Amino acid sequence: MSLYEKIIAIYPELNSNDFTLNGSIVLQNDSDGKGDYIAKWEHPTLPRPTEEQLA
Amino acid sequence: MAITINGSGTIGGVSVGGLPNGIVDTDMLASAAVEQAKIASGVVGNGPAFHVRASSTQAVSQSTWTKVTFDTEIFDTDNCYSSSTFTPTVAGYYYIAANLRFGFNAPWTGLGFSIRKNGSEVMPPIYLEQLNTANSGTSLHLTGGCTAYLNGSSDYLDIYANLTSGGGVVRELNYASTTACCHCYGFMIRAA
Repeated sequence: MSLYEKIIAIYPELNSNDFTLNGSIVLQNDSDGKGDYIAKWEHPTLPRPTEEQLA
Repeated sequence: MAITINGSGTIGGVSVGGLPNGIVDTDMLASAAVEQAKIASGVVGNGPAFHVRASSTQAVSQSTWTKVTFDTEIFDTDNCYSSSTFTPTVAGYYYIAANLRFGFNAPWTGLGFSIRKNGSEVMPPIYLEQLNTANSGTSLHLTGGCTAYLNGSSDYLDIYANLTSGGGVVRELNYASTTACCHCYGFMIRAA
């Protein structure tokens, strides 16, 4: 399950529009073997998921 | 009258009014003796240049800005390209561009890429949104480029791409051949 899918599972109210160019959430992968990560979380109401939630 | 100077030492009180044209030619200069800063405006120098491409398809996670991997060098004049990152060793102004081939097999809502300098966008993303056009085996090319000043030591450029679509579908930077794949290229425009 990708990071995006994990976040959507935690917050079903989110959709791809929240992750677009001007969205409040930016996911990133530096292709360094460390995988996807949250580069920006500026959602106005939902808190950033914890590592435990994303595990 | 010819003047011959033998031995070593210091000659003072001598002024030179300038050398006639043509007196300094390439035979009198050591190789690589002329620095970038001494090249006249409008003259192309020997600044770093590169052209790289991908050799395989790269998967992209849903809605995730992903660094594009270019693992095959077509040329890299000054060995400034490594790990899909361009870090030139000569300070100056550079042009960098990429041609990315996006692959998908279901409707998508957005795709694009940006050029980043030291992790921040120096070329705002070229982004297509809400086209919702896709069929099995479909691909789409995007090309974009920009200029940037790089300090010749720590500044670097790389490419990040994003493809947003429905879940459970192919999202990739597609490789079909050495020409139908992702390319990146750049070169020095002028010295600092």
